[in-house]
Amino acid sequence: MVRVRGLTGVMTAAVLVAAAVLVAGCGGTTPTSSSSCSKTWKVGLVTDVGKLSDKSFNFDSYKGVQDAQADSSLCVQGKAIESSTEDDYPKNIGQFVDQKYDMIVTVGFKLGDATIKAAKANPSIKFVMVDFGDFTDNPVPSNLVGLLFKEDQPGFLAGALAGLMTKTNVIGAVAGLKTVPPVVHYVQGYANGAKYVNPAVKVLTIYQPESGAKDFNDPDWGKQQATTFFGQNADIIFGVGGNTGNGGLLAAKEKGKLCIGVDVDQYVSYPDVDSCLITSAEKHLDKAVKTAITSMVQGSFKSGILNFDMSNDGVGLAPFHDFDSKISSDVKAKVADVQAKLKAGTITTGVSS
Amino acid sequence: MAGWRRWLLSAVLVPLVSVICGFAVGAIAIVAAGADPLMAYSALFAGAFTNHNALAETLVSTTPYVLLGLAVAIGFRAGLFNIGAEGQFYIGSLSGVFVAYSIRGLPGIVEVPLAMIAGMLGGALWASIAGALKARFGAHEVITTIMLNYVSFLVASYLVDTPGLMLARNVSTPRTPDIDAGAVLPNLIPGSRLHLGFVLALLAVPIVWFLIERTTIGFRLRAVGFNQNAARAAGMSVGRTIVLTMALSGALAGAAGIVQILGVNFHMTDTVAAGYGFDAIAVALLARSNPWGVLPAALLFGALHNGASFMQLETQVSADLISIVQASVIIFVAAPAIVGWLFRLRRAPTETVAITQREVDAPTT
Repeated sequence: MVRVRGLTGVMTAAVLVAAAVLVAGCGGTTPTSSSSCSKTWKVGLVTDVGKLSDKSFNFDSYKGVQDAQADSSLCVQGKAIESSTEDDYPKNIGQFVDQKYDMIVTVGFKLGDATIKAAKANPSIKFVMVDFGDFTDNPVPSNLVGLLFKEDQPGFLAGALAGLMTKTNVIGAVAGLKTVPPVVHYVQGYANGAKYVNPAVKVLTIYQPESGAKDFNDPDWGKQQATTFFGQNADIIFGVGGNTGNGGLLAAKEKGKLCIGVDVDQYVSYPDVDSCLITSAEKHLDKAVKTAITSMVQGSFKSGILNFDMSNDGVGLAPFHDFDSKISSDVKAKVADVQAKLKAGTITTGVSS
Repeated sequence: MAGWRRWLLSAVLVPLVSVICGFAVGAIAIVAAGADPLMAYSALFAGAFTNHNALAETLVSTTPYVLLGLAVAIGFRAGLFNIGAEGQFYIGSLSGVFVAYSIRGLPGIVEVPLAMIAGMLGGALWASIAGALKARFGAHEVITTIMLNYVSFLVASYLVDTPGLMLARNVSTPRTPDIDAGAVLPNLIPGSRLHLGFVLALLAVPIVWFLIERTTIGFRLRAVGFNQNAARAAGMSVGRTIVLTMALSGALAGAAGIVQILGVNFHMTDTVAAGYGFDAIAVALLARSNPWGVLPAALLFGALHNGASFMQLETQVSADLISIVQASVIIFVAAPAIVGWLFRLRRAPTETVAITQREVDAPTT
């Protein structure tokens, strides 16, 4: 009996686990799709190594899948697989292929090669690549669509807000690599937008030099550049470039200046700078992904590149959050006016893509 | 008889119970995440072994773990804690891929060994930097190998991301050119990704075992691991053994890197390894630094890595759960007392050590 007593700890643990399993099994039923669905569309998403917890690209793209699932008219069932290593990309896409999914969404340009290869091998499955439209080497397979965004438009709108809010008539942008087109689109749009509403404004911009592993990931550099801009009287900083840009935002917060985030609503993704963040220039990845899913369900899927801009609400400005009460209704009206004109196409950002 | 029982306890029972306990801890995490552990684990099993191509994919993931596990284990045997397997993997990949895409049109029987030698040499040279620093200046290998990891990541991203160096032309993602067709490791099962590298990894196990247990190099290596002073007193060069051990360790890690390129990726990106080298420390610990033990330990890690995708697909339990299981397994392995306590195992009486210390200064009577 002495030996058995030694096992009690393990057995107690086992019983606890078993009990928990029962509870989970009874309580955790998933919502069943409504009976009106004649077919359930299975949509799988594969992340890059940033995984779903990145609060940015992967997270927002998966939100698009979840939104489609929540929309009962679409009859979509969505799942995600997170990639741990680069070798995982073809394998994780293959998991959804084996399970005969209807659509596979891959997030980020690093999955580009694997996605194109899988699309060619599986013509009956639809493939969606988020933020990838580089088909120069490859003729686009008829079952593949790349989602691209007009970053100059939210950049222009953010610039307009900054141009109206600045007290010193000097604003700045701390950006990632100049070789990455979306970064340049954001920054040029920002400068043009600021000058559109305030011709007297001076826009200071700097791009991060090639820094190897620190590309888009050098907050110290971003912070230094923003601080330099403050020395030249800037009072608003637009951070465009992952952690490099975040360094600029952090400098603004510490120096009591204003800041503008990028890509997603950084009030949510980077709460450290909430107290200086007047808005973020957003790409609506969730909407774009949901749009692609909807096109498949409704039979209007087209291969090639799907562009997202103001006219289809694929880009925009995030809420003002803490600054909602501090921004005058006059400024808000002017920004809304610029937005309406961009949407209608009566003004352009002056940025060639 | 007692020795045999103790071996069974330390080499088989403790790792086995540790693995079971690791899964139990993982189950608690799954429940906390609101999923069903039985469903999750059965999906994990299916994704690792029984699904279409699953076993082949598990062996693909097992391959780098075997070679890297051996790399770390060989260091352990000489008392060296090589945290730098990840960095040596990178450098081995870099030097190997350079040869593999530079040579053109030779038969595979020539190209594959050339690339392999380049990769192993790269890893060996890189690791012997840490070995030499330890042998010459006493710099601790844990510190130097960690630091060299960063250097190797940055060297890799500099070379791979810079036009005119190793960056391929006309590609949408930063990577090296594809390797020559002749350097590709042959596929073992058509339709899967399982490649000859798995067989090479299997062959490495008896070779490393023979090297450690049956050669003079291995004897020196173990002697240095047991007691450096005794090894020195016996006339062995401790410094040279340390450098050689690190070089052997680095060569195995470099082999893991180049095998992964020749068999799976066919080119190199700047984030190619993503943690294999760090997981390998756990593999070697679980294997108790025994080359044969590396095999089941690597298979376990390969199965976890590979099965995680299907587990997430079926139950939406994050693939990161695998890290929890791995970490708990290692905690139980590293603290065998916990396992002993759980089972109230009676500690075997310590045998009297045959060599006794003589008190030199004791007065003669």
